[in-house]
Amino acid sequence: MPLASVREGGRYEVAWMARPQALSDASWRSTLSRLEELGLFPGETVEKVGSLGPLGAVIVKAAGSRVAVSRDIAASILVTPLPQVLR
Amino acid sequence: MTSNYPGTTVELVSGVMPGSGVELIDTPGIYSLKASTREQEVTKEVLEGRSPGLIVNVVDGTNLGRHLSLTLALLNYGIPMILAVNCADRVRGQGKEVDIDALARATGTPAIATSAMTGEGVEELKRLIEGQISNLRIGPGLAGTANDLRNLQREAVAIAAAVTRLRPAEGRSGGPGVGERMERALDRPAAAVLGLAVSLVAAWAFISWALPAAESAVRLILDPVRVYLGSLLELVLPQGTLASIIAEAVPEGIVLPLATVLPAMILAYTLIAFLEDTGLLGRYAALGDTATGALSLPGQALIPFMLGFGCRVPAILSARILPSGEARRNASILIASLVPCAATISLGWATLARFRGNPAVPVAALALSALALSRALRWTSGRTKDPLVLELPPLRMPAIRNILVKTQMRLAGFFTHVLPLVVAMNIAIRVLMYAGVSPGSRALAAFSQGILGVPVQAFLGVLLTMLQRYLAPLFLLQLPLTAREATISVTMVALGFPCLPSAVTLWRELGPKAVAVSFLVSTCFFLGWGAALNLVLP
Repeated sequence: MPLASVREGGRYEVAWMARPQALSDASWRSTLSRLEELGLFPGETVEKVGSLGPLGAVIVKAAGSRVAVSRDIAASILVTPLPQVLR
Repeated sequence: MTSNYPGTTVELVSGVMPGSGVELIDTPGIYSLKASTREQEVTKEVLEGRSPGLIVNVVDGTNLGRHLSLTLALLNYGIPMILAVNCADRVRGQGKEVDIDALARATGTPAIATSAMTGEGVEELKRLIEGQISNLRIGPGLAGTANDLRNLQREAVAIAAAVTRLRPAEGRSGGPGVGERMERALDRPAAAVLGLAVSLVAAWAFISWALPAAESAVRLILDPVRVYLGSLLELVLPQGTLASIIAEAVPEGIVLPLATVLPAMILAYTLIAFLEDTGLLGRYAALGDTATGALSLPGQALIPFMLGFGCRVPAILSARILPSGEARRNASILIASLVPCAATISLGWATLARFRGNPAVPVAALALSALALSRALRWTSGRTKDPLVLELPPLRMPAIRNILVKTQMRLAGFFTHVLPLVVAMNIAIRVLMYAGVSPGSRALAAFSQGILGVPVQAFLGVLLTMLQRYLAPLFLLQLPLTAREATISVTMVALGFPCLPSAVTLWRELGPKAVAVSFLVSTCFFLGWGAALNLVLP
């Protein structure tokens, strides 16, 4: 399910990055490498921390720091939920 | 030069260490060497092209997992390296500690804990640098390959986890600190929007008050000087109209930047440094991204635009925070050509109220023109806006010293570049005005009344007001205008070309071509709308 739609406060594993229709090849490649640098790529654990409104940016915690991504990008990052840790 | 915001140093800054004469090159902050951005290219050029004798890798001790991947990539170059584990004070503040020796062993480089804020470890670092430089050992240049990035990141996270541990809880308060709680609060949309809206409005209100106040104060002090200079020039120069123009234009050209441009620059740079240092800038950008997308601009553009409603000079200066050269250029042109400053808004309001003009007309004209211009600018840039992917640095209290140093560095060049430019432009404009007004007045009157629907004195008043807004009470408000004429005049002023201070600022920031574009665009807009309204309005 896309990162844009999942519940806030949850921890997820990035499964797949789908290219949004609107972006050109070059634009998508540079976006992918920026995401990679910030720790958003398949196999990594992220925590969805918040979102700035229904159309606004999505904030996630990845590799120790907060990252804001636009809603389109959040809709193209597909994640699966991590098993919950029992306290 | 660093700040709590990605993108401060994109050029190289170099200096020499006092005493030892070692040259230090400050490279932009990067996380990896996969050259996809300017920052990474610039850094790679230094590593591969300039044979540095030593790398000082400064990493954030509170976030080693993210930063060590670059350390590991740098090790592949075989250049001697020192690891400075910075933000030692914040590491302690988070209740953690980093085992420096374990880190040094894991990476195979000497490591030292430092804090730029408290000065901890800095002397020792200097000694280490001088010590290492004198035992130079040049290794073969083997760049880390891009494919390794994910493995480097995994290794980095593993090392970070191994060397970071919680300090024994002596007097450490449980639970998240103040900083973390504020950040979580700002993650909620309602709180974020409210908090940032309030601070934006406060900044705009402060600017709308502070700048005119500063201008009045400076003029009060400098007016006698200006008059004296004027009479001195009249005495010294040979008789003639050109002489009297110069005698008036030069003193005014010296006072104007000191009265309007300099205070605006100080205000803008201080504000930007404050936003960078606290980490609020990133949050504004994230918040504003959807709105500014309508103008094909990234979220950071929210700030220059808000400032522009106060005064265009700090707005154009603050466009430096935009991440790409094109975004900066497009935003600056939009602001210089169209955003109405507080002076414009107040004189527009006064004129419309006095003559019962229609305020909806100039507002609609501005909005439509802004949308059209942003489309046109995007089309000429040839690229759509890059989607927002922005790291939000942790919020922290600003360091006053940091802000002052940065502002001072950015103000350099005011006396050498801005001042002479204003004097030159002032002379040129007055010569043009004098030459253009007397001959051809009949043609001008016909044009003004026939095409634009306003009396010629109003048209001249409009032109002069565009150049210097405080002239409005002397011209527009003195004339008898009908409601229709007032509406058209105010719309033309709102769409009119940049005032002199903002034109000079635009020149300095982006060069004469941007100024030419801005003048051309606004001339087309104000004449076009004037004529259209003349045809359409009842």
